[in-house]
Amino acid sequence: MPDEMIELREVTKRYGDLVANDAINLKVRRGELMTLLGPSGCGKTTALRCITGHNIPDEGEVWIDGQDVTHVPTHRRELGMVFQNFALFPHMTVFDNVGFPLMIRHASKAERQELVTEALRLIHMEQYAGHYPRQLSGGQQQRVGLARALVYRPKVLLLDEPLSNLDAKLREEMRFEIRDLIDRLGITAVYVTHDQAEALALSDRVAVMNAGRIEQVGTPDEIYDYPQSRFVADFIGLSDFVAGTLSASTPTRARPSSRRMGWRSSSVPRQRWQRAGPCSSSSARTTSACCQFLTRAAPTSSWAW
Amino acid sequence: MTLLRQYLRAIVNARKLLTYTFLLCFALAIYLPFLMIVLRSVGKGWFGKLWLPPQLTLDWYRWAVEVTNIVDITKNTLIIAGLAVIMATLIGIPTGWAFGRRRIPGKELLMSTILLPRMIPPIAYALGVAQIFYRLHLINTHFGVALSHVAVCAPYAILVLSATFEGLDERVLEAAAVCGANPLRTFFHVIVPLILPGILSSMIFTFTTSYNEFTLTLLTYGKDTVTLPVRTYLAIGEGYWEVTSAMSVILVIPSLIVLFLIQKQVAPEKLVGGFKGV
Repeated sequence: MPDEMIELREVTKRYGDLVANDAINLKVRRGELMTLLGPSGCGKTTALRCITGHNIPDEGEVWIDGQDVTHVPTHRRELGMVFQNFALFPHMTVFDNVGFPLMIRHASKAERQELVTEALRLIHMEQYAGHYPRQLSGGQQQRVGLARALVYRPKVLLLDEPLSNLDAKLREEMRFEIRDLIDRLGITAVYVTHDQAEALALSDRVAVMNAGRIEQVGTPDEIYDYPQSRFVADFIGLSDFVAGTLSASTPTRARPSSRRMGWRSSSVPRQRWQRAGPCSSSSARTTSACCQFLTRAAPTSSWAW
Repeated sequence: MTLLRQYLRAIVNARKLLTYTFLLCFALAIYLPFLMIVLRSVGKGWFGKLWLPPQLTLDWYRWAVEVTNIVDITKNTLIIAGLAVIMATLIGIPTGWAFGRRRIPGKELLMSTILLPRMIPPIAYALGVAQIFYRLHLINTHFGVALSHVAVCAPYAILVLSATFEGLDERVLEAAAVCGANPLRTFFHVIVPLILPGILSSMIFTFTTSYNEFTLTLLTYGKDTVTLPVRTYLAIGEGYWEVTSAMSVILVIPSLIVLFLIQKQVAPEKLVGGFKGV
């Protein structure tokens, strides 16, 4: 059994002149929750659609569970998916919606009854089995969407901005509900969002995307504390960039020398200084390299200069 | 007592008074002519300045059935309307799909072109249709009359169906695929139930359009393809107003049935759950 559940190998997808995915490589480990994070138009949804099979990549391969599925149609990929606009079947009751994947797989009536009831219990919606989607609130509809995606225990759960259509408070609640559910079922999940807080709170690992490329893959802590590019640093959390000249550096940390930057008089702890942007590890060793420094945890107003 | 007080208050309230006056005028304008027709169809010896017919009778209905051969004419009307519905729906489904779900350059212009027969008065081109039909020997055939009706029926079908197909959420179809349904099963389990209400209302609209169509029928009918509206018109010319009134009442009945069907269709808790996803 391969360690990777999903693997994108050099996946490129173009829409006319626009390169939506530019030779993307991504490995999602068995049982982990990987988030694709990025601003709108960065290609994260395109990448997800390559996994579902709604997009066929122009170049590259998509592997799921050790098999090349690049040209396998969506309905044979054994996936579960949760949609931003819920995408429930409006003409079916909650019970029939959740039972749909089982019905398609010719499950017996008794089996369907049992599995759907269990799935509905998992999301605390047993009493709504006879309701139609339009009779439910957004949060309830999304829970039904989750149950429909999980009812037949797919290999992979895909979530395409599942919380974006919900109000802020519900979003927080559902975030933990989803995480809890995924933990309990031990399922591999790919989660697409543009919400940094959501990504950092939920994920085992985050892939930050920008302009069709993956900028950085890492745990939420790594992404937050050690952004590898200016884009990642800017996109994750609230950041200030300070331009300065690098005069000396240790292998791990850069240290600004210019008094103008006034780091001594600021309340920012020294260790929060980080290199960001063009100051890569190799250029950090050269004393004259132009660097940008990044700091967090202090409002701009407390700065001395 | 309370009713009287409410009534007085309503009269005092000028806005309400205006509303009720308008409603009354509207009701009179709509129903008074129809009331005349109904009374005429059951009245006997109703001449001169009498307000109401002195005697009631159902003779005129018997006349309508016997003299004007109304059974055959109704059959003609239904066959023609049925053919028009079938043709309009067959045209409407692919065209509506293209308009509703595909990006077409110059879509607005194309749509206007399609709606044109609906916008200009049929009498303006009915003669042209008749000339072509004479040459093609389509005059006095059910198919020919129905074909002329398609010009005004198809725009309705296309309009209603393109709206239906536009409302079909792409994500819902994708969801079906992710759930494991192949295209055929997606079609039968998801697409068909979702578009059926739209197709039904399109069929109801085209049916009433063809059923009510007069101008185009008048220029394309023959002795074997007389329809109810045309026969009613001819009966007016023949001067039997009582029989004409009876025919008019008969003419209205199918429309009432259709109206009832539409109301059931639009009822909120109908079986199919509505067109829209969210």
